[in-house]
Amino acid sequence: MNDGKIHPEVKSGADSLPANASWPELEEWLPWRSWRDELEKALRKAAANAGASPWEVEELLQEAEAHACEAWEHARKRRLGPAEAWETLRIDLGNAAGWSRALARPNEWWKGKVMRRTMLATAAAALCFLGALGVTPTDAPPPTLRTAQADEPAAKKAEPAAEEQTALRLNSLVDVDLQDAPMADALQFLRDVGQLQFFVNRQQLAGLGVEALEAPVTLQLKRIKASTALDLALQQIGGGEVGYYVQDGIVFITATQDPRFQERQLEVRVYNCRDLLRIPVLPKKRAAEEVAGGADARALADKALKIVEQRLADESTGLLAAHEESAELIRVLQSAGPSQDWEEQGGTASIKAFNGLMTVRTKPEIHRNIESLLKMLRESVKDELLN
Amino acid sequence: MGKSETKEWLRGSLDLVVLSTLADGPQYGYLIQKKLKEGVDEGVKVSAGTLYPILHKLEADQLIRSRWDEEARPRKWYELTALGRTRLTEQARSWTQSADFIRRLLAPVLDAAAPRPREAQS
Repeated sequence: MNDGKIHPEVKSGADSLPANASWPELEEWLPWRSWRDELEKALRKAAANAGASPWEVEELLQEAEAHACEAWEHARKRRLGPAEAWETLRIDLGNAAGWSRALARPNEWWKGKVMRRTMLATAAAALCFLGALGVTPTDAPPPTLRTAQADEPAAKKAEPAAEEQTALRLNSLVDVDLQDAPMADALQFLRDVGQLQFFVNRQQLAGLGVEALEAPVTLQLKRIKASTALDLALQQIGGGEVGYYVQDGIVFITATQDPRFQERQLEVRVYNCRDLLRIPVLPKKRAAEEVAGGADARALADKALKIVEQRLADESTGLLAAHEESAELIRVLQSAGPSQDWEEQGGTASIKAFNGLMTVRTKPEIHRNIESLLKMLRESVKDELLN
Repeated sequence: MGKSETKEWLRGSLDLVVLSTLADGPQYGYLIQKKLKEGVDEGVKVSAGTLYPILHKLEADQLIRSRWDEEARPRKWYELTALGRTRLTEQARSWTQSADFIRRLLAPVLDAAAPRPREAQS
């Protein structure tokens, strides 16, 4: 069915359309919906083959709908019957294969005057990636059936998931030279340079009153991460109200209030902070160590009992101290993000301590702050010990 | 020249033809299609499936730019960029020169083919 042609069976049922039907009525009409679905399938297929982004498909679909709406209203003005109007509309719209050509062209226009790129880091990342996959030596014997079967799952495992690939691409370094360029151009640039796929949630952004793709962006920076370029561009178009998240390898651009965006922002990481806390060692082990080598069994048992009692008292104090220290450390770590983010203040982020391990659930940027904070704390402790 | 030949010529230069429809100001897809349909003689029937890829290519080449207008009903307006206007002028000049050259070249052929007054009397 999806062979790039609009199929004639959608003609059937024209009688079911009320005479002088308006565009909204046509939009709900099955033959139109079938035509549109066919077009969408063909466009998505062409986009996948050409490496075009989903937002380009969305753009073309919106243009097709806008065009159909105009053509339909024009046909109504000419007082054509539904069947005749539909036939005229279909001829006007043409076939899906033609539409798909819009996505098949090579997208290298940015190589021109406006933008330049540096892809050394991408190349390096690609080499690292290839290195991670491993290269079979040319003189190695061909794999037997058994080894080939055994290797297959390993190869599949080595292939990074779409999200990991996108994360790598977002980390690649680029030179960006945009001067009052529409956001659409900026995304096109990042798509071509970083091989990223974008989907712009226009509905969510419209709620903010943001003309996402038309808003001008000025960015003139060298060797910055593609993710930073994207962050800065989004900052310019939405002033912090527009963000992005990665899902299935696609970079979704949407309002930061979008629940799907917020869900995707929280990441769980575990930080080992035992070196910063006085975590008690189990008392029995210490006691056993201290009494080892004693001769008299009774004296040994008494001594062991006393030591254990003493240790238990010490460790209770120690545990309490550790608990207090953990609580204190949690408060310090929470300073890495806005107070309203944490669940104690009604937010969704959290920090839980377990035996010196801090399980933190928060946004990636807050994780980055926490990493920096822990590094600084450790350096301070190290300085204290050295001095 | 037959109408079908004219159309074939125009089809071969659709990029230029589409650019020329924007010479007077911004247009949206349906208007461009209508303009082409109602152009020379019976015009050129260009389906939307042919037109939009051309518009996207011209936009990618930075010869035109577009913006959505969501006011009454969604319309994507296309207009010439400075680069597009320069390219259009250059190509229009080039085409006119070529057409003049061909006209001069073919004029004797037409003269020879035209019936002479004396031959017509006899």
